[in-house]
Amino acid sequence: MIVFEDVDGFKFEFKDALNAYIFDEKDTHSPHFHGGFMKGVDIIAEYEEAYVFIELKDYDDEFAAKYNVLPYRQQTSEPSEEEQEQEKEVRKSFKWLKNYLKYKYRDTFLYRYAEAQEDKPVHYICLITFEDALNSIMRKSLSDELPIGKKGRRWVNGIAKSCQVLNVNTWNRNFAHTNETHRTFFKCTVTHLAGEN
Amino acid sequence: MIRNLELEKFSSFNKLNIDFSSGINIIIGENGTGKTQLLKAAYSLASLSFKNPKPENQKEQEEAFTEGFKRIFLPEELKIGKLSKCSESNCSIIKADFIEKMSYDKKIKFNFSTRVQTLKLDTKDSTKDDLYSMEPIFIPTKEVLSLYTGLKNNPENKEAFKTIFDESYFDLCNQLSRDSKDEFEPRIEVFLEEIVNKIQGKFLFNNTVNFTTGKYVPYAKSTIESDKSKEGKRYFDEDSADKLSTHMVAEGFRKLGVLHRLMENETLVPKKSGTLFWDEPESNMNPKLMRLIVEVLMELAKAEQQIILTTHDYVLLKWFDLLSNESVHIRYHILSRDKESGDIVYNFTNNYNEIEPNPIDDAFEYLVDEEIVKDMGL
Repeated sequence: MIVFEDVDGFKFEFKDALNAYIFDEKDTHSPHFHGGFMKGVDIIAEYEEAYVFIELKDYDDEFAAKYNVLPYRQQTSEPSEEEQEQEKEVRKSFKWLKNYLKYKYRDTFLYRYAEAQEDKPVHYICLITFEDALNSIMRKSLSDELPIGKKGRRWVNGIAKSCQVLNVNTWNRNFAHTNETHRTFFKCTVTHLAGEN
Repeated sequence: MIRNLELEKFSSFNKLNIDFSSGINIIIGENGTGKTQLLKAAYSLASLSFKNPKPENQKEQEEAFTEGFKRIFLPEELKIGKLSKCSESNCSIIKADFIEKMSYDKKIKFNFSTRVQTLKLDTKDSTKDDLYSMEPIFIPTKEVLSLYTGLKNNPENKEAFKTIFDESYFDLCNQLSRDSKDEFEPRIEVFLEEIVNKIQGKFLFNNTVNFTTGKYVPYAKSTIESDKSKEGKRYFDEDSADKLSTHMVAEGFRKLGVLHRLMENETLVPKKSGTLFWDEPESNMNPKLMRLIVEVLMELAKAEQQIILTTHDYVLLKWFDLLSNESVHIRYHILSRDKESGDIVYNFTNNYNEIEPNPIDDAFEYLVDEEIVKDMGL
């Protein structure tokens, strides 16, 4: 078992991982310091089948509302000026976060290329404390833009194998190492330290 | 409004005791947990009280309610006993507690069992004088405008329709066929305009139902003395003489059209009419129209209209959460099945985040999980 006691307010317990480390290392002397030129995801875990890139974002409910594009997607009547302004702001925030998650992944992918560590498919998991519905929308937008799969006709390799955007509940429901039956190769329990208090 | 409903050994319930909010009540539960049964039970007691306000004697009242319950629930062989779960004398209970005009408490209670042909009034727990008299409205799951047209044009088919549709459909058709008014209280006018502007037109009810596009516009300034009274007022301006068949109009618009009509003919008037019951507003509806429905319901509730609805739709439920504010009280009533005993369990919360178990979230989670396994499965 590989355990990280506190990464940005979350505890991680990886089971059956060949390796796992903090990727976004600030200490230049650390063996896992990858160079400060580009952005990096928070954690990389290696499994027999694949690498898993993990990025964390902890928002409280009130803050999460600033990203919630859901209401505007279903607007049918003519919105007021104030509503239009709000919508613009929310869409801007959502786009900012999507780009942030996208470039984190792509930069990490380039580091791994430079380190000649691109021998297995890569799955990307963003642990974000939004509710499932909003995470679902983020997952779709992010998957389209990373992109997932072999998007070009001439591509031999894909850039990312899959992308998940999950909250702690959904993460543990699917991945917790204590689950009786595992349906995924990735086994890891996450604990929200702030949520425990 | 209905304050409390008690059901014992009735239909799928062993024991159920619900306190309703005077605002919006949302009944949530998986299929087969009795959401519609609960709605119909509350509606039946309210509607039958309204239809039989001054019963001559106990026997007449019992017969009228028995017949009414049979027509709304359509039990097997049309026997009232089929709605009971037990055979001991008076073991099944249906009871409601209403508040009329915010002050008069009116109770009604019946007992029965599988062995009897008629509901028995429990005189001890029922109000002695006139019954609850505020007319409730029930919007059932199936589309009703086609039935309305069918009944209007071929009334002789009513008996055949009665084998397919329960009484709540006929009650609603009857309410829709009432003549509309020309003048409205300003607060009702606001609703009517709002709905028309949202669906960009309105339904015209004659022998058939047609949709005509248009919007509300102010009257032009007039020098004629008799027209001066119209100054500052607005009227419905039809875009063209072309009428659309209701079938050409989105289901969500049709549902709002039903609400519009009920307000236009003063069947639905906040504070004056009884409870608005709505069974699965989401059925056959484009999720994009949900917000519209929820907005209208919130406005009605703000004007002190009690609303009780059932749903198993995530989007509808989420809209109530997103649009909720302090001026409208929302209570979530949750029905679930106990895994061991198989009994229906009831609980409630006034907080969206505390809905537990939440079958709507569960269904959503199931989809998310399958997606993850598809991507990262062994």
